Amino acid sequence: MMQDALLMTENLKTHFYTKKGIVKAVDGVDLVVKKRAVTGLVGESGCGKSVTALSVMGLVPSPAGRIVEGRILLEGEDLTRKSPSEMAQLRGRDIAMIFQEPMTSLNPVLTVGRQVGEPLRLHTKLGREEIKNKVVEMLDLVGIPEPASRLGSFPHQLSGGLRQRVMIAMAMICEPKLLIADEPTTALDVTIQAQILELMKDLMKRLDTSIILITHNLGVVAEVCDDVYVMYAGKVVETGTVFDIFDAPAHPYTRDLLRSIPGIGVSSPGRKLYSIDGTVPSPLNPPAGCRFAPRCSKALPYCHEREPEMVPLGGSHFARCLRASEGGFDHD
Amino acid sequence: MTRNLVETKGLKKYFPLKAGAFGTTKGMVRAVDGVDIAIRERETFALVGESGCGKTTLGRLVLHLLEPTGGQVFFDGVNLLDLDCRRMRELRRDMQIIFQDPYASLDPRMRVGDIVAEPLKTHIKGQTKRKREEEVAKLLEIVGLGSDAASKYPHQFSGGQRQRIGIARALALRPRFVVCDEAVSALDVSIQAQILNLLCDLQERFSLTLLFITHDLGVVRHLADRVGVMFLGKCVETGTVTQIFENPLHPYTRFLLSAVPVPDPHQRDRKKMLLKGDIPSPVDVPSGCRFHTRCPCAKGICRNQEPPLRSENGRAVACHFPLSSF
Repeated sequence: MMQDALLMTENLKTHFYTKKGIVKAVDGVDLVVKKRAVTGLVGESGCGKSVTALSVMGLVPSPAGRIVEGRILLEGEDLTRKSPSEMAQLRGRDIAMIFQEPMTSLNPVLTVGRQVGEPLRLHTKLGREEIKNKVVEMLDLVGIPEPASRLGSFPHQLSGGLRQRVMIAMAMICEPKLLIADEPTTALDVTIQAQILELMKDLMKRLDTSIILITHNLGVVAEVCDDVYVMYAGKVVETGTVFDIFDAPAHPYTRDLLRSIPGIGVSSPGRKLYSIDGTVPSPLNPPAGCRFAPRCSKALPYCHEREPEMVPLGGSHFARCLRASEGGFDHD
Repeated sequence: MTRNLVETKGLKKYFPLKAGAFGTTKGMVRAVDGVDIAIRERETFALVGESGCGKTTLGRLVLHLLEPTGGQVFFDGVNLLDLDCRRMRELRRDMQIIFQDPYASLDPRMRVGDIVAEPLKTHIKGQTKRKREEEVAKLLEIVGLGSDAASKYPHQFSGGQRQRIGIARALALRPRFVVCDEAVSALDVSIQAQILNLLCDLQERFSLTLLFITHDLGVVRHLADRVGVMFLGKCVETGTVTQIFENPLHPYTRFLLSAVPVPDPHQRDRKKMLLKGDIPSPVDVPSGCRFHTRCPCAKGICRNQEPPLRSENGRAVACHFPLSSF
C-alpha cells in the first residue's frame, strides 16, 4: 500500500488571512495519490479542492494564504520544507498542472512552440533543434494535426479543444511524475470533453504519470478516476475507490450529491429531482460539529456538537460521519 | 394535440465578421441558418448543441431581441416581424428570459426589490407603489426568497439565490413563454437541482411554456418534453425526449449522447463513440451536409447536397442516411 503511493498529504491545512477573518480553505486533508492511477477530488465550489492542488504545487497566493500545518510528501520528500527556488525546480519537471480555462492560462503573445518548449528550456540542457523536435513530437502525441505547422501559431488561432491539448502538451513535455488537472474539461463541449479525457488516460499509461483530477462533474469521475476524495467545506468527507463511492456511498453528502445528478439513469422517478437544502457554509464561520449537519437529512442532535473522525468502512473506504459506523442508512 | 405557441419558419441570423483597421466585412457568421421549430403550448422544449451552434442566437430571435436576417417567427399565431414597436412592446409581457450568469444579469447597484419591480414599472401603468411592493414580496416568496430580500443588493446573495431573483423578475408580468438560456449551467449540482425543481413547479403553477437552452444532456433528459438538436446553425433533429435519447436518428445526436459521461463506474468500459476533430467554423460552413466533415457515415451525396429537414408527427431529421426510419 504505502510503497506505491506517489504523493501523500498529512493533515494539510491551508488558511487565508483576510480582513474579515481566517478562511480555513483546506482544513486537515489527508490524501494518498497512488502511482499510475487517477485520483479524483470532487466537491462543489468553495470546498477547497483547488486550494489543495495549489498547496501541492507550492502556488498558494501569498501573503494572504499560507500552509499552516501538515506535510506534503512527494516520494517521501516534504514539499512544505522546500524553498521557493527548489519548488520552482520541481514545478514543470516533477509536478505539472493544467487549468480549467485554456485561454487565460496560455500566454497570448507567445507562440505555441515557444510555450510548449519552455519547461524543456528551464529544466533540461537540450539544444534548440532538440527542443523543437521534442515539441513537435509532443504536439503529435496529444493529437494536434500537422504539429510542425502549429509551432508558430498563437493561442487565439486555436479552438478551445486544441488549446487544452496545447496545455496538456506543455504540462507533459518533461514527463512529470504527477499531473494535477483542475477542471480540465469544464469549459469544453461534451464531444471535445470525451476526446480530452481519453487523451489524458492514454498519456498516463504511455508516460507513466499519476493524475489528480479536480472536478465537480460526477460523470467525469465515474469515467476516469480510480480513487475518489469527496470534499466539503475544507475537509475530506469520504474517500474510497470509485466503486466504493458510487456503489456504496456512506456519507450523506456523497449520497445526496449522487442523487441530485439530473437525467441518465440516476434520477428519481417523476419530475422531482432530489436536492440538498440550503447552501455551502461560509468558510469564515464553519458550523460547529459536523460541517454538513445543517443541511443533512440524517443529522441527529449530537452531529451539531461533535466533530466526526474518519470511520473505516473496509479497504480504503472511509467516511467522516458519526453515523457511518451504524452500518449505513436505509436506502430511501 | 396541443397547438403551437411559438413557431419559426426558415429563421436566419447572419452576423458580419469585421476585420482590419477599417472594419471591412470579411464574411458572414451564419449563426442561425434556416431553422424551423415549433414549441407547443405548456411544454418544455429543450434546445441542445455545442458552443457556437447558434442555440443562444435562436433563443434571442424567438423573443425578437435580435432582428433576423430572414425567415419568420410566430408567437401565438402572430408574426412578430410584422408588429410595430408599440405592439411588440405589449407582447413582450408574455415572453421573458432567464440568463445564464446570475452575476452579470443583475444590476449590482439596484436593490433586489427594484430589480424585480422594474418590469412592473415599465409595463403596468397606474399601479400604486404599495401595490407594486406587495407584488414584489409575493414574487420573492414564490421563488423561495424571504421578504427581507427586497431591500438587499445582489452581491449579498449566492449564485443559486441570484438565479432565483432572475426568475422572480422574469415571472413578474406572468408571462406565457419563458426562455431559459443555460439557466442552471453556472451552478453547483446540489443548487442546480433546487433551481430545476423550482422551474418545474413554476411551470405547473403558471402554465408556462419553456424554451430551455442548454448543453447539459442530463438536464434535458430530466425536464424536457421535446428536444431540438442544433449543429452549426441548423436544427438537425427534433423529437420527444424519449425518441431522442432512445432512438436518435441523426448520427450527430448519437455522438453527442455517447460523449456524455455516465455517472456509473461499471459502465466506464462501454464502447464509446468519439468524434474526431473540431466543430467547423460557422464562417466557412461546409458544403452539403454540415456534419459531413466529421460524420463516419458520410457518402458522396452528403458532400454536395444539403439534406432537407423531413418531418412526421413532430419528429424531424435532416440527414440523407438517418440511423433508422421514423
